[in-house]
Amino acid sequence: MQEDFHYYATYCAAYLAGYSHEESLEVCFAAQFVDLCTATFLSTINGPKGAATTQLSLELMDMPTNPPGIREITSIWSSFHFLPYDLNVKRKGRSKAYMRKYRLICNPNSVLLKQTVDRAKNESLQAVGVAMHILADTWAHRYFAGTPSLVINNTDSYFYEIVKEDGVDRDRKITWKHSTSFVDDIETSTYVNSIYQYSENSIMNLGHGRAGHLPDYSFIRYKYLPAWNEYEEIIKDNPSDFYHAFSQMVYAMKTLRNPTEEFRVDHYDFEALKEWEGEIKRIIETRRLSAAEDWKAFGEKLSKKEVIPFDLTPAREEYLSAQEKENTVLGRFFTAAMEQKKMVMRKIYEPKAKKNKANR
Amino acid sequence: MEFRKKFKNIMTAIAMLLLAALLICMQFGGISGVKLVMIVLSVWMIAYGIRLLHFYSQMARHMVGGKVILILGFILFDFGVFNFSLRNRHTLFIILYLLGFYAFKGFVDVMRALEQKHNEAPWKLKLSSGIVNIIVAVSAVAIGFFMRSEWAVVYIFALGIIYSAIMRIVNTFRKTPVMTIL
Repeated sequence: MQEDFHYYATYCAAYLAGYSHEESLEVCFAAQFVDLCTATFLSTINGPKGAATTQLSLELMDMPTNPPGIREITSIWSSFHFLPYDLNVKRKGRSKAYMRKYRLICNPNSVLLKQTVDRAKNESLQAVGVAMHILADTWAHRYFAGTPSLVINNTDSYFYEIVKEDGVDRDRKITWKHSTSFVDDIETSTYVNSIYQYSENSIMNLGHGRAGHLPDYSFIRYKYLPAWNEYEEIIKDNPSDFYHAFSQMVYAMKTLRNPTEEFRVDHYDFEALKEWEGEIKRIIETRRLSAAEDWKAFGEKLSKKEVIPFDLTPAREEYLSAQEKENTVLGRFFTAAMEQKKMVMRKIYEPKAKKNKANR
Repeated sequence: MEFRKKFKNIMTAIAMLLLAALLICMQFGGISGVKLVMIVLSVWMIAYGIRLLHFYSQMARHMVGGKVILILGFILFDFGVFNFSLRNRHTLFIILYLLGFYAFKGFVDVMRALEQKHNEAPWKLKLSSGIVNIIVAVSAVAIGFFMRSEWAVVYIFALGIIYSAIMRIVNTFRKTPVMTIL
């Protein structure tokens, strides 16, 4: 997902869940900052290295793809952008090496998602923002894994956008470009994706690179063959997924505000959105590369206050000048990020015996 | 590019330069270095083929389009064994075979460059490297045929290897746009 959803839509969801304008701004700031908190940024403010929640392309290029390097990449991408659905999944006839990757496939409504949202309870607004970023991404990034893997994240030439022509759904073959300067052309279904690399651990095979930015666009519906699904096609209905993500965020944040209510997976607050359903669906379904303006206008309509654009400078200056850094906006974000990463990494890498003992 | 990959690329390039130097020196000494090239090439192909077949059996057989890895593994392994069996043939025959291999590699590079151009990915360096490979192979065969000289063919082949090694070094330090979409 992009800034339009992580910042502006998260603001709207927070406000609808009962947070004040100021609180909603803090929540959406943290949700958006997850996509910007790199090791390079942390080094400029002397922040904790372990708090990185994303990686720049250049940082990725410098990462070794040996086991410690893969672990480092996975700790960031699986924890914050591709939360694994079922770490204990079993598939007959698959090797251990294959299952180590397969179990990291992201999908919504996982046990890990519940633990992620629960962890934000009674914590800072920044922890709420981090959890909302992760929740939203489970919908957009489903069917991909936050680890470099050809056998999981690859796609092939069977890739069609489902577009409405004269009221009828038609398949339009997607044309891929590998140029960094090319801008996705929604009129001709020409999109940018990463180059095919047959090396299993190439960083080109991390996440949804092979499907380009398609998982991030709320309007798009497409079908394709993911590498892991035994030639079964998947129809990705982003308008539906994004609407579910939005209503699940509203529900999740309501439970976080209510000390007696517990977050449950596969629950949504469609009721709270009833009044706004038409408007939200129109924003989600309109064909364009960014829906930021419309989400911003919708947020301002809800709160009757200006939703200021994302700006890192005040938070950065506050952090640099503070004596007690952990009580700043960025300090609280770093704490939340490191806790989240620790929790997910423990679940992914802890030995089976320990896991069984913990479950008992 | 990460340090380990850069190091590996530089080491491979140095090995290629040494191989070219060895070919020229051995030719000066009246010994054919071509057989050595054939053995090195065979061992590399067999090892890489086995690696791909192992990757297929463990991972890629469950993947859409994974059969490409299987086929590639078999072809490389098969070629490796075939190459190895040719090592005791007449030197000129081996050189012609190696040049054929070289020209084919050049042709594949040109095709891939054209595909990359179509997909608006970086293509110029690959195209030039492919064309040079083809020119080296064709000129070596032509010179060998008209001059009836083995040493000319060996030198041109060695120059081709030197060119490939230099291109590898250039590629290692070249700034390339990174296509990671996350």
